[in-house]
Amino acid sequence: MEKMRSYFRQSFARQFILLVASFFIIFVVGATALSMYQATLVTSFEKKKNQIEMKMKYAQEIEQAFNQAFSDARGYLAFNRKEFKLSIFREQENAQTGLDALELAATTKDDKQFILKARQFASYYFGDLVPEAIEAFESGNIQKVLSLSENGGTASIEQFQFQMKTYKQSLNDQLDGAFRQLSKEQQIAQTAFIVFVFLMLFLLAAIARIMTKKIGAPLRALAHMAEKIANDEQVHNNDVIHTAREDEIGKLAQAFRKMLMSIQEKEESLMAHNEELLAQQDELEVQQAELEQALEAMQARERELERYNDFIQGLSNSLDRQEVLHSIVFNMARVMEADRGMIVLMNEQKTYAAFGLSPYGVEQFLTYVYNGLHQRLFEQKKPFVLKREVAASEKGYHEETMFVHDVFLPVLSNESKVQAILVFSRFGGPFSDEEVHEYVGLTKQISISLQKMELYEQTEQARETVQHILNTVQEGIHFVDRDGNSVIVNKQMADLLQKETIAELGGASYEQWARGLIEQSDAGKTLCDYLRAIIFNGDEEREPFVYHLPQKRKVIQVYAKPLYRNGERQGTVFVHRDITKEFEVDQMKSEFVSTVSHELRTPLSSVLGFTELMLTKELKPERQKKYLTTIYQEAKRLTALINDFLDVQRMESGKQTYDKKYEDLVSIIENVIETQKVNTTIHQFRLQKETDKTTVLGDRDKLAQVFTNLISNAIKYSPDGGNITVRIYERGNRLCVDVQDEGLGIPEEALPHLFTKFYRVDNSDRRRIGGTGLGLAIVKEIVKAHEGEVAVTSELKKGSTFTISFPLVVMARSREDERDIDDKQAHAHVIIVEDDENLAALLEAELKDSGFRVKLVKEGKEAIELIQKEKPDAVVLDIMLEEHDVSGWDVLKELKQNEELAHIPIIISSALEEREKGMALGANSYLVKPYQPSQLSKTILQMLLNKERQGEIFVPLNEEAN
Amino acid sequence: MAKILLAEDEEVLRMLVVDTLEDEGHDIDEACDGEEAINMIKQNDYDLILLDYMMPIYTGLEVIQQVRQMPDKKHVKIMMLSAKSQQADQQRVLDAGADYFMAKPYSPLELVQRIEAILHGEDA
Repeated sequence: MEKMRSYFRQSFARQFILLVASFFIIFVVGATALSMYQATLVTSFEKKKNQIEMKMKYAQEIEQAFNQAFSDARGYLAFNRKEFKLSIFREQENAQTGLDALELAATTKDDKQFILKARQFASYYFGDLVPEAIEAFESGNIQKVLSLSENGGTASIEQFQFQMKTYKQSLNDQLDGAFRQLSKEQQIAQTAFIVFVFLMLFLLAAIARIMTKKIGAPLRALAHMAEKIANDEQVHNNDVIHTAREDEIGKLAQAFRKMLMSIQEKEESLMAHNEELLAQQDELEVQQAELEQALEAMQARERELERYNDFIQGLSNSLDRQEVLHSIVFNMARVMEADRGMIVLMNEQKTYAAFGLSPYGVEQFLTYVYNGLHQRLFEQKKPFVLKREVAASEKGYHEETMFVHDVFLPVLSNESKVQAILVFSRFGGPFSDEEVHEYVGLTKQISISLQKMELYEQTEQARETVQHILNTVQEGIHFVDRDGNSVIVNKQMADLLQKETIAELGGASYEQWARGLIEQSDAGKTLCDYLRAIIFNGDEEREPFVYHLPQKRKVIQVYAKPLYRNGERQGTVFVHRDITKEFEVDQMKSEFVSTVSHELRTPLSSVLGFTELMLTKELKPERQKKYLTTIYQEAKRLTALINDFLDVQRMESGKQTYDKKYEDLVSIIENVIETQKVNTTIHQFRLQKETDKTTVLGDRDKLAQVFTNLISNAIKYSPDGGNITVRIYERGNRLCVDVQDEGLGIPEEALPHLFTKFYRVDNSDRRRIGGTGLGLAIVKEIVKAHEGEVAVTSELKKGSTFTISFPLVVMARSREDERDIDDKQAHAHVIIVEDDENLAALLEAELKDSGFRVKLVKEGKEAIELIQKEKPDAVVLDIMLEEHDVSGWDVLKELKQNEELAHIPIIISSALEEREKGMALGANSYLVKPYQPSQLSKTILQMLLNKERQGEIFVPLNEEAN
Repeated sequence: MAKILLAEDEEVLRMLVVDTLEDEGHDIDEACDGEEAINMIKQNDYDLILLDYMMPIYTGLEVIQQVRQMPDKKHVKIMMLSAKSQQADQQRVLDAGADYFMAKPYSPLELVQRIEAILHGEDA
């Protein structure tokens, strides 16, 4: 029960449904009861009515039956008709039936009384009267029949009829009464219905009222409260009613209260928040003000930076000095909004660039750059601004007074030195302090730019120097990075790589640069492997590699050194060294050793062998002599071999000294022929002298060796004898000697090797021709040392001709046929300082021949005096002079210290090999004795010509002036 | 008595070897150069051939090569006499087909001893 109540209490809708449902149940029950009552009324009335009407019908039938029976009885008796007598008894039955039915329907006392009376009458009438009357009548006793009717018959009939009538009347009264009762009861029912309707209406009104009271009022209250809240009026949460209710309203009210509470709470927190916000806003306002200030500063800075950036962007990125300077001036002027300006570097050249200036102005500025206004810059190292009246030249067509503002800016280097100065002029307006400050910032940029440029120039110079150094090195140098790209290469290397220029190899990849080298090398694959292993695998331990370039006939040794920077391998330096000479020398050396060993062992074999035989065997005296002779000859041969060998060695290594003098070749040759004649009987010797100029400058003994070798060869290689002709003749400026034999001749293929050491011609003759195999090599060396040449022509079986040529020595003034001589040369005056009279005479003759005027002097002091007096065009100076206190060196020093004489060219002519010293002291040329006299003429002439060419004033001392 | 060829361009050395071997009773032929030696080898059957290394026309080495090409001379005994006494030279000679090698300067007695040993089938 309690549950049920709470169930309804919780939901307003449920309460409403309950109310409405109750109302309907009451309404339906009421209405049903009323209508059932109504229906009962009608039914009971109908039933009563039917009963009464049945009773009336039965009463009627009874009455009829009796009345018929009366009439029949009268008829029968009157008319004696038998049918009537039958009908009487039929009617008796009908009356009896009617009475039975009526008895069944009888409900009231009246009915029962009537039925009793009727039955009594029927029993009297039909049982007594009628049968007596009929018997009487049939008996013809009419009197008796009459007596019976008069003695009561008629009276009882009449009484019964009256009773009948009364009953019938009572039945009618009964019907009327029922009807009246019905009407009365219906009236009551109607009244009850109306009452019911009113009652229902009242109930409905009550429900409506309840609902209104239950929903409307609280809702209104809540709405009112909500309105109050909306209108922001003060509402306490305790004001919220109906919160105790459990239904929706209660919930609504509670929710509302909660809402209110939460709103209030929120409002409080919002209020707090709002206060906070307000505080923050204040703070923000302050900050905004600060930010605005900062923004302004930023914008100013931005403008500055923009100009700065503009300036830097405008600066030429070039490394060309002039271009950079020009871009500096131009951009500075743009940034400054200056009308003209100039930059000058404080270097020796005063490199500058100007903008809007006349060349005259520029020149003026440059001229007074160290003593003009800007002197202040050098002292203070700070910029300054000048305001001055515009000069007339600057004013153009303006007449009124104008002002121009000049700003002077120093560009300071890292060491705070004034590196450059900038001057700019503005006609438009003054330069503010901020602007000038900003320009100072820009000058720092300029300083960086200038330093960069300078650095680049230095680097470039250094690079060039390095490249020059590399190019002067004889080895091919090649720096290759770790990827095999060519980085640095010198000229020699470029040649090796078959490139025209170094530039072609700039950054060339391995494939690009290596191909040229590998293609021409004999060991392409191995060389390629070698290079690759070092470059790409960092195989640093590799031994130097040697390869040949067959086309260039070169042998190259390459070695590699890794290059490290900060411990990291940067690449590899390859050095390709031309070792052709070393290689050849090496090869020759080993061949030489092998050959020498063979050549020495052969005579040694004989000497040892025969000695052994003589020591161990009993030999006949003839054989002993033969063996001893052989031993002696072989030992001699061994000696000759060793001598020749040593000679060759000495000559080849340049250690052979030649005691050169002017010798007559004819006498040398005559001596040789005399000596050689002894060795042969089958040869005829002839000497043909076709010129008188048979003097040569040479070593007599060595020249004799040359001819000995040639003539002994001629003898040896013409084993069948014949003429051996020596011919001396002049050819051009050479003195030639032919040595001709009529012997075996030399096969053509042997000719190129003839002068090679130990080379021997294979002879078809098959006879071994003794010798060391060094004779011609020695000839060649000696002739070479005498500035001579040796050549050979030969025909097999007919003989060979060896021709030796020496420079022609002209002893006498017999050179009328000399080529045309320059006029200047004819007048040029030469003083010869020489203590060797012969040599002096020779030189004098030579120089006079060449058209110089010559004076001889023997001593140092004398020489200086003469030179001072004569001021010659050239001096030929010997160093070792007779008078030991004044040497040639002293003369040279003396002359060079004297301003008047210092310009006179000096040719040192000395046996001392001290060229460096001589040149250092100021000599112009140094001839080492012995030299060809003609060389002296040539040197002097060359010197005088050079002097003229160099633009020095050459005053010929002509005959008249002398 | 054996038939021996000596090819040597130096006359004195020929004399030395010929004298020594003739004293031992051998029959010696002489050749002055490689070509002569080859011709003589073709024409004769030698028990032993002594070859100098450095000879005109054909060197001793070339002679050996040519002789070894000859069908009937594949097994003829050859001794090389050479001043080129280095190991490599010696090896080259033996590789070319020489059976024996003697370096100059050699002792004639030693030479005789070796030749006797070779001729008596001892490997000297």
